[in-house]
Amino acid sequence: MESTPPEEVYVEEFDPKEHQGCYIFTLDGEEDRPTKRRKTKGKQRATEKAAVEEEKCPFPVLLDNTETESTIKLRYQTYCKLWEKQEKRTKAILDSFNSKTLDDVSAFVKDATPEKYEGKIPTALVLAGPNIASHELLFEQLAQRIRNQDRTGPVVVLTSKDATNLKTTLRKLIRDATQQDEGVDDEEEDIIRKSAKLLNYDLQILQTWCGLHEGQKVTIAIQDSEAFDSNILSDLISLFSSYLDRIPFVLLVGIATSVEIFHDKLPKSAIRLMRGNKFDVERAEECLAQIFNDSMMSDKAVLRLGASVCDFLLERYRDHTQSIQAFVAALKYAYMSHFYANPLSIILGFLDSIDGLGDVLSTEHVEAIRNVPSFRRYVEGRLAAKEVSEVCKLVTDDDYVRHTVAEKILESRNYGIKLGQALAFLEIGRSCTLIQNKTPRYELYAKALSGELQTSPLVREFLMSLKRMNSTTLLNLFEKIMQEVQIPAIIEALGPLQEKIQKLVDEAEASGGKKNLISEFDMTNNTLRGTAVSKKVRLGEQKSSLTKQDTEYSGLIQQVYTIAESYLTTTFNSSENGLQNVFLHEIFFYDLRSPHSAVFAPKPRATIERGLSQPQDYLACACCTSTDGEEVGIRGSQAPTSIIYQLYLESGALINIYDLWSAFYSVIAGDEEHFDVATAQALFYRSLAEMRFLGFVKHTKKKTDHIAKLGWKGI
Amino acid sequence: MKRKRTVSASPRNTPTKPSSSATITTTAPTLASIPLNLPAATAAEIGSSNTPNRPLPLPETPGKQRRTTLLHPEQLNGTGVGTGTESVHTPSPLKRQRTPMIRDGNSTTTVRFADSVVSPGDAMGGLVTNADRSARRKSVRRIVSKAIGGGEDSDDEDEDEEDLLARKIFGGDDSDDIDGGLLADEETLGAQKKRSGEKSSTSSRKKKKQLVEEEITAPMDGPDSYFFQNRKARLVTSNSTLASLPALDHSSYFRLIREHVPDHVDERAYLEGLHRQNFPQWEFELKQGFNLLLYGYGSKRNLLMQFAKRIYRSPRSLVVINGYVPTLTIKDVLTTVAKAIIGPEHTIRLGSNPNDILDTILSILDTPRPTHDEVDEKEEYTPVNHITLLLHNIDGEALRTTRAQVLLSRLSSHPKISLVASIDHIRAPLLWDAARVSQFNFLWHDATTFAPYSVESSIDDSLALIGGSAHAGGTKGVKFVLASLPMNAKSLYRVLVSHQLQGIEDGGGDGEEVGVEYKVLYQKAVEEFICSNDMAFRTLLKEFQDHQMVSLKKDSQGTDVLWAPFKKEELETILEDLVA
Repeated sequence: MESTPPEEVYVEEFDPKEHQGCYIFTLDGEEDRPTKRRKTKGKQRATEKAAVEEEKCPFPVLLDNTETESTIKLRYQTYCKLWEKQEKRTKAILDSFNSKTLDDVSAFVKDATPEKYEGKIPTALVLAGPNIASHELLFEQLAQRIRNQDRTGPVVVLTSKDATNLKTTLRKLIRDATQQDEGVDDEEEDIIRKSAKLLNYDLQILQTWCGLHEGQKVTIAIQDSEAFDSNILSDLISLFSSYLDRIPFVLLVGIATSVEIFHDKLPKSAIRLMRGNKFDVERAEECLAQIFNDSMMSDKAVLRLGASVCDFLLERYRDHTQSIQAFVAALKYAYMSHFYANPLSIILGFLDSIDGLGDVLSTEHVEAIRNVPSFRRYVEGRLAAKEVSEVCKLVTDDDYVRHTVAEKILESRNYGIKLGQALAFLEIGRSCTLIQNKTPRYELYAKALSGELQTSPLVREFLMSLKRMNSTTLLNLFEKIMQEVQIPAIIEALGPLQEKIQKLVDEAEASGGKKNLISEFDMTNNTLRGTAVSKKVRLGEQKSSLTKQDTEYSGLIQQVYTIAESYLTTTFNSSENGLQNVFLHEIFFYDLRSPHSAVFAPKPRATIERGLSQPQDYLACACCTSTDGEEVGIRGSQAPTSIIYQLYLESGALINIYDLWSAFYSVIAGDEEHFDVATAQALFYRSLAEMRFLGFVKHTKKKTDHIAKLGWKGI
Repeated sequence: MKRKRTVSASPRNTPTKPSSSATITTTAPTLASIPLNLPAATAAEIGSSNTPNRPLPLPETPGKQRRTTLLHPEQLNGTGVGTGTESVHTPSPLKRQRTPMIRDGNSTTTVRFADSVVSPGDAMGGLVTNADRSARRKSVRRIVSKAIGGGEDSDDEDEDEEDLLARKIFGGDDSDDIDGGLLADEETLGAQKKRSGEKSSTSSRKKKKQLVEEEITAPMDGPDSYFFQNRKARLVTSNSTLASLPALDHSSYFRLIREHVPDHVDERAYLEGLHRQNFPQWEFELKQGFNLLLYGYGSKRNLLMQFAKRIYRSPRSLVVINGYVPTLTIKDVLTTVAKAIIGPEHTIRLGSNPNDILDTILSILDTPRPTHDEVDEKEEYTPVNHITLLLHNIDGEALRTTRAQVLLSRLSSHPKISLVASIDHIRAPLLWDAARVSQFNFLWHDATTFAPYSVESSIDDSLALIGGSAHAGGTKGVKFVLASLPMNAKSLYRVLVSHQLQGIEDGGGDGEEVGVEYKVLYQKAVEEFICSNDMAFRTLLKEFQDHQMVSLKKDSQGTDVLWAPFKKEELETILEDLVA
């Protein structure tokens, strides 16, 4: 464009930095010239410190601005404390998952020698799963580990972006490998001098380097093997192979899909040059399950997610991100928004010792508690139980409310813990049976909270198969449950039964050598005969074939069944044990879906389209809204771009600018046509420029003075 | 014309105009008689696939029953003959109101008719239609229940969304069935025709189609609109050009924009105020290690600058990047960030390529900062503790490359660096793959401001849209360029322009059609002693091409054609200036 930037001339309050690419921000009046460093240093520190002081509490004042400063601070501290704990646990889980892979791979790299692999390139296939977001981190960690901890030699991480062609790939490889350990400049120069005549993508350079660094292995990590051009990859591999006697290469290949696909990608000749091992990075689902169990169901968790948020997060995980980091971020956001906006969240800080709670809750807090639905439900429950005096106190006596809250919160908290235990029981139970689809606990959790589990086939199925269990699996199940879930009710009830069954088994073993006791309810063996009559016959046969121990065992298993059934049905019973009956569950369960969906799953395009096609939704102005609230269509009073956009929606794939202009003018001028043409024209040009800026139209050469439409609304 | 009358008076129309049933008997007796005692011919024609040889008037056959309902749903409807389709019909007033796609009563009823005739009949299509209909029925139920339930909710977005979906299914189905409607129409008409034996059915079909098509208002959103607007027929646009518009140069453009009183000033201010109320929350989110991304219509520059003032704490803690500046490079960004981190007087070698600079920056940030106030004299620089990047338009042209985004995401994923960015392009989210998204760790916020993009987009964008030439801005720029060029260059341009004008005079059309062949122009230039060799000629041309005063294209024979991309009037003014 031949035009000079014109704004400088015409706009009064012109900010010269508007058109500067980037600059360091300074406040008005503050000089951004480099001041004398020595002096400012102290001052800067001081101001920074002051800033830190001042920023101590970023939380707003809630409760109609009546919240006292100390409670705000307390709220913030509670947030920091609780999230820190949670984060630590989460991080530990994540680290443990990574560390196993890291250990395995680094061990592989350590003792990989070409001799060991019949002269082929030692190769580790790292199956890292479909979440490419985590690959970078994984390879970074791998490289760090091999480089700094194991000290086996340089590590070069190659990504498909580096590998546009063989030359650049090799160049990067050599550069990265030879420059990795710093502080050996003379050596480096040495190499450079020696290899002065060599081209910078000649592996000879690396060979020289290897000569200088005896015993160092060169580890090449190919991060995203799928995205590599297969020719480049196979060329690289054949090059490595031919240099293998001089440069000890070790290859790490990151695979997001499957080994088969990797095999298909390369020619057989290249595949033949590699030998090695496959490393399964632990399944992401397992990791998610652990984090979820820890953050939602363990007794350490304080704030839990409600059903709808939970559904949202899991759905997003399953269908979109597949990323655990994203899940953790969302979890953090739940903590953040809970403590940011809920004044009652301070109660969560008092779970360990209820002592100070009564003093902290102000009158406003108590009033807020009274407004919580679960409190109301609680009062109504009291009322139904005809405890009028207590209801009176709850409604009028603040101290009594404080007292009740202090008394009840532990109970409320235990609800979550109990639920978690029951789910653990169910999950473990189901994993011990022959049920095919293993539903992880995190799937069950949301169902349990919304009361769906009460009538769910998931529970029924488990109970049915529990009845049919033989002694081995049942004992196995007992063992697992005793180990992993500490439910006093269950352990007490099942303990004696376990002993009895164990005894029976021992007896049976001693008498007849039969190790496995069968339940009389087990019908799995007699599916051979199809007809009803024959089944009946078989049933009789089977009954009679049961030994004495078997019959006794059947009696015991019936007891186990009864215990499990009553336990599960009462825990999942939504009318008695539902979430809504939990006193102050609003504080313990965060269940606002919309903040999460707005922040993590936004619809930027639909937002722009809505803003332009229905500006009244945002502006809520009288001029663009009709009285009955129905759609208004195009109006002259709307913003020019909005008018253009609505005209644009009506038009075809090619738009004549002149026609658009005349339509625009007739809209903006209205019936009286008193709008200044030149101004309208200027507005028209500006709006058109905005449309282009937003990506709705582009220039086309198909016809003179036409633009092409690029976006269709609502797709 | 006559056909039209039959259409408007057909029983399908009765729901909207119940009184018209009287006219039916007079204008189209044949049609009117159908519901009463379906003449065998018609019935067979309609439902031949269904009930081949049976005389149809038997009311017991479900097929017949249905058909009766269909043909005039509301005439009979009091008796409740309706099958499943009936429920579809009931909310009709509501539907008409809700779905803007079909506005007039005529087409609505057409569709309704079609829907019911087609679906029960054809066995092959049955599956699909049924599926559609069940979804559709559900949506209807939903809409109805919604309407009945009244406005007792509802800030529940999801419900609204589902509702929208329901309505969409409902509406979308309607438009899909238009063709079916035609077909069904055809069949009745065909039947009628056969009996009266007047015209060939094909001609009626054509007319019919046209007619119905005109009656439908085009779909405005959703996939339908795409297919509708991309039909061959729709590509026809008028031939008017912008030539008839007076040229608008930059100065008057800016004067006019400045003088224009913007609309909705108060509302915009209010909207911005709403966003400003979120500042503490945003700040908290930044503090917690998230990055922010603002989206929505309207320039967010001003809002972000206000936010910047709020979060600004100490010198060098905030870097502003204007992503919309076309000349910005990622290297600039990185060097500025480095400068902010280690101070302007640093002596550290940053490295030459952006990757190296980034590595240096990150390693500086990673080195633990000397605690306490032990001012070590050896330290060359004083790294700041935390830095915030304020990036207007992370989707700006200059930053759209993968490389730039990779670098930015790596930079912003560092715990000591926060990023506040904005996007405007509707396809901006496509810039990032899963890995980038997770590195950016964005929290998205709707920040629709309705503020004009006065800084981000310029009038030149608009001009570029219009076709690369300075149409709207006039030929002023050309004059400036020519004024700064030597005499022989001016002469060359004069030759070109006059040749082109000559071509236009001869009726050669416009643009490249009247262009000059490269060789011809060169010959002329040599003849007029403008240049002596091809080399010099090319240099001269290059200047023009750089300023987009000359376009070059190979024509169908493969010869290079040159022309000045201006209109006749503009060429004339240029020529006048050149000669004067």
